[in-house]
Amino acid sequence: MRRRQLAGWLYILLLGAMAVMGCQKASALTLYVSPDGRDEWSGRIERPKADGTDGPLASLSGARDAIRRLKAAGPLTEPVRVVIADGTYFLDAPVLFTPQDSGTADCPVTYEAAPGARPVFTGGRKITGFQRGEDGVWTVKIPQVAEGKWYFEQLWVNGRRAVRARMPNKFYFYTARKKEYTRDPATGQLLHTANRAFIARPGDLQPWPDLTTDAAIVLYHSWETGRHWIEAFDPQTNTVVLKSNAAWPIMWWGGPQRYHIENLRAALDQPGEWCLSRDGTLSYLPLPGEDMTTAEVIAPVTEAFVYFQGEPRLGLPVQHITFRGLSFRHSQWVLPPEGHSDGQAESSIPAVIMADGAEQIAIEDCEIAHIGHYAIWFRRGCQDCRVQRCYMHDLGAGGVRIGEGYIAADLADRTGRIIVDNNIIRSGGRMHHGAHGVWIGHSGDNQVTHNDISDFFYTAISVGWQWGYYESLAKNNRINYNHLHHIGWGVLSDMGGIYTLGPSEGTTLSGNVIHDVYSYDRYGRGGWGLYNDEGSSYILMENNLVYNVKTGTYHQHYGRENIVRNNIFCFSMDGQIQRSRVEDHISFIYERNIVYWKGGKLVTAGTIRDKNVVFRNNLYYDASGQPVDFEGMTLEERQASGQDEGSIVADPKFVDPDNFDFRLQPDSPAFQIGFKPFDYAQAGVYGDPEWIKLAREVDYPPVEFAPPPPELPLTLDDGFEDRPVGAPPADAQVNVEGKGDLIAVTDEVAATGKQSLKIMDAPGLAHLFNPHLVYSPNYQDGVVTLSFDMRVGEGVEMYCEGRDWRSQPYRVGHSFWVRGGQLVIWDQPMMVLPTDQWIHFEVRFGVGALLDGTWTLKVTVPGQGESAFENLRLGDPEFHVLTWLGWSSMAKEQTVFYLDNLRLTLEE
Amino acid sequence: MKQWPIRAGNLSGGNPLKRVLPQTPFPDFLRCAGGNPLKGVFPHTLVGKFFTLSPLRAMRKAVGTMTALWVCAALSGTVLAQGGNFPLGGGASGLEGLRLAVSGGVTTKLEGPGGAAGNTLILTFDKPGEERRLLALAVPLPLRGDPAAAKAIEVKYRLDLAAGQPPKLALVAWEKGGEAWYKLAAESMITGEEATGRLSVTTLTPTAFSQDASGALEWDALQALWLGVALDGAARGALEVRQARFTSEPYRPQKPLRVTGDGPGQWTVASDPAVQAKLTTPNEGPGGKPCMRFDFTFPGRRHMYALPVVPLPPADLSDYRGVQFTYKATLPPGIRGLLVTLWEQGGAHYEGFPYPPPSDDWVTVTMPFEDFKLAGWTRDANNRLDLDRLTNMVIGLHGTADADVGTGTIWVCDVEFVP
Repeated sequence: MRRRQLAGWLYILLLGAMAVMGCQKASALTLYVSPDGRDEWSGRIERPKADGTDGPLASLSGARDAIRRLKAAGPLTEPVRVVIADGTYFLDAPVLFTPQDSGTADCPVTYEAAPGARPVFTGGRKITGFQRGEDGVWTVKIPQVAEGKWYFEQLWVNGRRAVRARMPNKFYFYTARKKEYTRDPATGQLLHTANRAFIARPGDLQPWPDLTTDAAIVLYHSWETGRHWIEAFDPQTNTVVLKSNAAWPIMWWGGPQRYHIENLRAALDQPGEWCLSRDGTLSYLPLPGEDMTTAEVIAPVTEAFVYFQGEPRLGLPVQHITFRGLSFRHSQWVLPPEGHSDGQAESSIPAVIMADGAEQIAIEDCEIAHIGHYAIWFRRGCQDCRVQRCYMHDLGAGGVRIGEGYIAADLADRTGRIIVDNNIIRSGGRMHHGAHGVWIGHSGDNQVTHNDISDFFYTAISVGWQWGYYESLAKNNRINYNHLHHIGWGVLSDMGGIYTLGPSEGTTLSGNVIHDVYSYDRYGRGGWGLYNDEGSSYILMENNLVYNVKTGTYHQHYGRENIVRNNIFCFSMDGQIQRSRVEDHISFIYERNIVYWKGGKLVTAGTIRDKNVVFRNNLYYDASGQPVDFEGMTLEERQASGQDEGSIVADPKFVDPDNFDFRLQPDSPAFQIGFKPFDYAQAGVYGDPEWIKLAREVDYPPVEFAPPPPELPLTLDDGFEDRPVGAPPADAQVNVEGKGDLIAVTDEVAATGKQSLKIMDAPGLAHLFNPHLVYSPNYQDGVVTLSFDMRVGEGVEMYCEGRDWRSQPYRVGHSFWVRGGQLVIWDQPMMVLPTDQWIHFEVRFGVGALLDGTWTLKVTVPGQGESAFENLRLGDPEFHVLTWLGWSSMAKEQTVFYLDNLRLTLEE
Repeated sequence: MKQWPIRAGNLSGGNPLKRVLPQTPFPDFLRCAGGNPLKGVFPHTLVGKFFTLSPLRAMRKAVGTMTALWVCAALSGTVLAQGGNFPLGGGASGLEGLRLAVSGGVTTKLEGPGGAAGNTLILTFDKPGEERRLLALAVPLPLRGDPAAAKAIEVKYRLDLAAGQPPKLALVAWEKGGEAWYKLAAESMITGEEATGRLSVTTLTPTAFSQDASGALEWDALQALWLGVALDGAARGALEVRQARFTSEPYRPQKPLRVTGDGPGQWTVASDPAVQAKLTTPNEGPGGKPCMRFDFTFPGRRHMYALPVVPLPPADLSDYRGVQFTYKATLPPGIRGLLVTLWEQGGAHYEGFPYPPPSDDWVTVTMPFEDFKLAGWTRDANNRLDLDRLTNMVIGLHGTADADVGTGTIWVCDVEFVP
């Protein structure tokens, strides 16, 4: 009996043991990676054997290769876990995962941090050996840089991105004038240099020896910046020539354009700045308290960390791989010789983790930081991948990209069903200012939810990549419950907290909280909370909270049948709503929204009066106490016109709007319009309290807008010889309607030289004052002298006039007409002017402190001598300064007159 | 391969080869089928007999020996390759030894050759998902001939689909160094009847995951070769392969690949902001067929561009010769001709030369691919027109009109790629 009992127990024990072994066998195969591992070991044990015969693996690629060897023996029969110990692992090249590295649905492959560990994969190299100079600048020689084998444009000191020495230290330099054409000294040919040359302001730049060898220029456009090497600088003319073309002509946006210079030794003047010269000298000015003998200084070497590369066209994806708990830091980006100037979204910048042909790839609980690129890009042919609970920060470009910028003809090349959820994406655009937190191109069925995105210079989330109503794949994207804030910083323009493009059926923007979106507005176009740009259509935007923005809480440029419903819109600086274009279809339906502000306009720009936009059941309130102005109408008048039925003007009774508590009190009149309260606290990250705390702990300073640039008086001396025939004149605004009218350089006639400026009128123009030519002199104080040669043809009716146009209506200074073959001043014919002969005109008058209310005109007709008209009264006693100088052709038929030798000066 | 005319009716119940080769000088060898197979091929026996013969008889014996060896080789399925013509795998049909290499999660069953499948190979599949998947068979190595001398792989098959759309033939070649190359057929397989599919092996594309792939596939570094099908969408069916072989006959598409289909095409316009343009698709083509019509006006004396754009079908155009279209065009003075560009995935533009000149009458022009050069306004990392990665085509204009204003009209129809 006892034997039987014993046998029975043994049998049970054996069964149990088999069961346990079976469970263990089915759980996972585990490989270990450790800083003290070796890739020639098996990786099956966690610690090296004492005899050194086996131990953990040493690297990510070593683990990958070990799995390949396993799979070579037969398909995986269990999941594989690669457990990576704490420590720092240097990645000198991206680790490539291909279809042969895939797991399966039943046997996925996971690369994860060991419990409690945070392994760091770095693409950077430590730099030591700094020596202090007498000027307090610490330097070290880097031989690889001197040898041309290494270069870097980013540096981290004690974990902080150091500032690349820049000039000016804060805000910007401004261009003075365009340099659209430059004569090649070798050939005499006129070269078109509008995109790569400009005239700098006197005193801004010096011929520093490293300006054309080590320094780079950052040009600020509207929604982008560009980086370029400098070809040449002429201190005599202040002409700057770049080595490459910018994406737009310089000063294209109107007015002085911003730029700054980086990596100049002369700019190394602020603690925390550094610069690197080609001779290998790295210079750094420490912050207070930094000890350069012990500081951790890291410069990047590797450009990317991981590539997931399947072949989607074959149907051969890389799949079922997870990264969990890993850190990727320090990636390289260097300005190429041809410069860098993208059109939007820094669209050519790749990511440090790239995926093509990837499915079921998950990146969880990882950190990606201190990089020169975007963090992650699911680019071509990716499906069902996700990024969750990742901390992406200190990014040269942005966070996550999904899809591509064109519609792939092959369906297998299209990306979709990507989840970006519960991530913190912070401090992007450190090199590439136009980058986004999340960018979706031609891709649909994605989910971008519960992310906290902040501290970017441009749009937080961009969805769609089609300008106009053409086909777009960006459909059924869910952009919900994100917390988007501190965007723009007054640096770039034409941005949104969320920005959309193209037809986007099924896309929702809901439950988001967007605030502190501030654009640069001296040129460029604004910063909005929700921004439906070109062709954005069929998007549902509801239950969003938007406050503290620059140009409007909601803006539609143009689009179709978008729905803006049940949102809270508060505190836009320049106006609350903008609709830029009226079309022959319904632009959007705007209903049950609360619009609340303090002073200023309701409508920023455009109009909401017509029938092709629907407003109903909204609540409006200007907390400054001003009546709400609906484009010159009261609410009652507006409702009588058919708009805003059911809307009210009333205090919504937020709990504490000045402290951004937008919950409604129980007796809020918002309920009357059918507004349904929503819990905006759901926006942002969720889960682990420490994770939520990490998102919330950041404290940003208030935005500081750059002061306007000092006005620069315009000096002209233009014989129109240095521009090609057919080009418009330099430094002028040319206004033509393109219906046979013209203002262009010509070689038909010239007073001197070979070329002059032709102004040709035409019948049937929309405006009588077209064509007209305008200069913006900005003359404040002094004596203005304007001289030019003019040749008028038969029937010419034109005027030359100066204006003070600082406000409406403008004030006229000097003014004279040529009409009916006569010089006419203040409707008085003064003298006969011959046709088809060059006549010289000279105008003089004072402005500012030297203004005396009069002006003088001298007219010299060939063979007749000079006729002087003195003490002519200025047109308006309120004319003080010259801001507008123009020539306007006022004929109704085709007429022609020419200008040459145009000179304009101000004697102060 | 020459088929030996063995007829069952000739068999006499003994050695079947006796009836076929009655004059063979090596009766022992030819008894191999009925007796000890090695008896006839003992080298000392053959050599000994050979050197005891007169020269004439020796010559006859040599010819006979070679004939016998060739017959045996043929019967055993080992055929001497002739240039680039040889079976893909083992056996006369090239199907022996092919085994399932990758199924992409598709439920598959592979039978034959042999057994119930007979001389064919039957691959049954059931794919539920929408995603594209490769179902491929590994070809036994080493190959039986020189693939570098081959121009294509030819597959005789019959595909029966119970559900889904027909797949495309695919070939993947893996090099020892880790590079992988592939070819995906431009057209789908034919269903429900005996068919022959071909894949060019002279223009393989490096896979996206190939590290530093450059130049062309190095056949002598071949590590693995897969022949398969790329399945799109849910599909269920059976593929019966009768024969698979390398062939020195190059693959040529049988007909042009239409870009604009039967209609005028789906055109859009990209242009300078100063251009006023109108694009329509009236029935103004030759014989009243639909065409694209592009009317434009722009300022003269400065550079302008106006580009009607048509998307291209997703296809590998490596086996085509060029692009052909029919057009009429009136262009302003100063604009020399039509700008024809091919756009690659990734943004590179290739510009066709010479520019087709303006014409008041309908003209059909063929532009070979080798006449397309990288346009000065774009960059291309590999400086090569990738004919398997084209996305769009432009037939438009750019330049500076001599007069103050430039106007004109372009009509286009019948855009296609020609073999």
